[in-house]
Amino acid sequence: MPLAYLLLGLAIFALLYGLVAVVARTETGE
Amino acid sequence: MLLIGLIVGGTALLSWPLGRYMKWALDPQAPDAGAAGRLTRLFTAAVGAASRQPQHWKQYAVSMLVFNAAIFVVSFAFMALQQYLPLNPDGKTALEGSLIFNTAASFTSNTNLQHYSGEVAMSYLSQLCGLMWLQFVSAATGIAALAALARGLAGKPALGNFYVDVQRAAFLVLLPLALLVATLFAVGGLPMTLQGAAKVTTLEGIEQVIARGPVAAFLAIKQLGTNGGGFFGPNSTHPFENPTFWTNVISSMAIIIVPMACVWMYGRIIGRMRHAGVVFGVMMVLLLAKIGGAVSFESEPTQAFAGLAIEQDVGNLEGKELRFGTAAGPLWAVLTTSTSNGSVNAMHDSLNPLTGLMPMIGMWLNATYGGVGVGMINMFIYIVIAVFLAGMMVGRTPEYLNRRVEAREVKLAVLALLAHGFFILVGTAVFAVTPWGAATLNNTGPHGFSEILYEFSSASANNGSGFEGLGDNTVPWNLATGTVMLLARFIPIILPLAIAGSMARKRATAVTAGTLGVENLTFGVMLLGTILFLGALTFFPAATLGPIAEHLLYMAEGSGR
Repeated sequence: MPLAYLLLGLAIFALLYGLVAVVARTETGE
Repeated sequence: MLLIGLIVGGTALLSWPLGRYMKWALDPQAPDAGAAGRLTRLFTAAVGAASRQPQHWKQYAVSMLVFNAAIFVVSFAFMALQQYLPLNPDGKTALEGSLIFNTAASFTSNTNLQHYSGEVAMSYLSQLCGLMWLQFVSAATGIAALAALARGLAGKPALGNFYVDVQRAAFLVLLPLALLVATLFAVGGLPMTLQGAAKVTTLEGIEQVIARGPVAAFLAIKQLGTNGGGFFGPNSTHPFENPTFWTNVISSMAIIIVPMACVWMYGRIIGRMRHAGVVFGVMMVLLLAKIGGAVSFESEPTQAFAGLAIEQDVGNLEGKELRFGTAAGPLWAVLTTSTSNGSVNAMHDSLNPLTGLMPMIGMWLNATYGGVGVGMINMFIYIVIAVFLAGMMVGRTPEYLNRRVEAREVKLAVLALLAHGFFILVGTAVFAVTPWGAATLNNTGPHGFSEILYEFSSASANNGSGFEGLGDNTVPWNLATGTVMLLARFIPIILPLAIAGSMARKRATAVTAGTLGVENLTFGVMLLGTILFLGALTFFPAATLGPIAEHLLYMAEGSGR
C-alpha cells in the first residue's frame, strides 16, 4: 500500500480545510 | 451546420425542463411535504445526525471536504488492493503509487485525467466501484455546491445540508439520467458485460484478446457528469465506446445537457429567470464562437500532409474517426473542453494549431457552461467581478441580486480566479524548463509547449482531456497534476460559498433607478467583456508561445514541428 501518496492526498484536504478556516476568520459578521 | 444545430440547439431546448426538474430535486418548494418530504426524510435517515441540521457556508464547505476526502481514500484503496479483490477476471495487479494518487485525485475532483489505459490497468471492481462511483458522487458534489451557492444568494444564511444535497443530486438527477442514457448506449451497440476479455481467433489464425466490460453503464455517467474518463484508453474514439454517428450525437448531447440545465436551476433557486437567461446567452455566445473557430480552422488541411499527393481540400482528417463525420471532431473538442468533460472522439494533438487553441480557451475560461454545478459557480466569480467593474465605472457601490458586493467579496472572487491562472501558468513554466516536462515531450518547439500547457490547463480546469503526445505517467507529472486537480477543484467552490454566506447575511438594498440591472443586454455585454478581457490578459502570453507561434511558424516555414 503506497501510504505516502495516500497521506499526500489527505494533506491536501487538510490544506483546503485550512483555507476554509482562514476565510471564515475574515468574516466581519455584518 | 445541421449537426451543430441538432446537438447544441436541441440540448439547449432539453435543458429547460431538466433545469426545472433539478430545481424540484435539489431545492423543493416544500421540502417537508409530499414526495419531496418523503425523499428528504429518506436521505436524512441514510446519513443520520450529520444531515439533520441546516449548514452555514463554513459547515457546508467542511462537510464537502470531509466527504471528498473519504471518497478519495476509498477509491485509493480499491486501486491499491485490486489484486486481492473480486471482479478481476483478467488478473490486474496494483497500480504504481503515484499513479494511484493521480487517478484518485482525478476522479475525486471530477477531472478524470487518465495517465493509464483502463482496459490494461483496472479490474472491473476498480472501474465500477473505484471510478464509476466517483463519477456520480463527484458530479453530485458540484451540483450540491451550486444549489448551496444559489440559496445563499437568495438570502438564506443556512445554505442547506451538504449530505442531503449530494444524495439528491446523485439519486434524483444523475442516476435516472444515467439509466436512460446507458440504455440508449446499450441499444446503440456498446458492450455491457461482466465477462472478461474475449479471446478470438482471427481469419489469419492469430489469437486475439479483445477487451470489453460494463462499458454502456460507465459511459453514461462519464458524459452526463462532465467526467470524461473512458473505459478504454482511446476514450470515445474506441469503437466500443462510441460505435456510430448516433452514439456520437447522444454522447455530445449528454456532455452539455446537465451544465446547461444547471444555469436554469440556478435561476430558479435565486428566483431570477431573466438573469439566468442572460447568463445562458453569454455562455452560448462564447460556446458558438469557439465551435465556429474550431470547425473553421479544422477545415484547413494539416501541415503534415502538405505536398503529399492526396486530396488537400477535405480539411484536417489526421486523428479523426470518419464514421462520425468531419465536423464531429472539432465540435466535440470544443464541447468537451467547454464543459470540463474531457472525453475525446479525435486526437487533440493532431488538431491544427489554432483549432487546438479553442479547447484551451474553453478550459481557461472554464465557465462556458463548465462542469456540472461548478461551471455556473465559475461564472458567478466572473459576475462578481463584472458587477464590481460596472459599479466602479458609474461610481456606485456594486450590488448583485439586491445585496452589496464589497471589498471582501471581490477579493475572494479575484483569489478564486487567480488560482486557476496560477496553477496553469506556473505549472507549465516549471515543467517547460525542467526535465520533468521537457523529457516527456513527443514534439519540440511550440507544439511541445502546447502539450505541457494543455496538460496543466486540463488539470486545473478539472477537464481531464489530454493533448496526448506526452509521456505523462511519470512521478513528477502524477504528483503535480494530482495536486493541481484537488486544489483547483475545491478552491473555486470554497471561496464562492464564502461569498454566498457573506452576502446572505447582508440586508437587501432597495431597487432604485441607479441599481445595476442584471437582466438586460447591457449586463450581458458587460459580463462578456469581463470574461474576454480577464481571459485574454491572463492567458494570451502563454497562447502566443504555444498554438499561435506554431500557426505562425507553419505560415512562415511550412512546418513548425
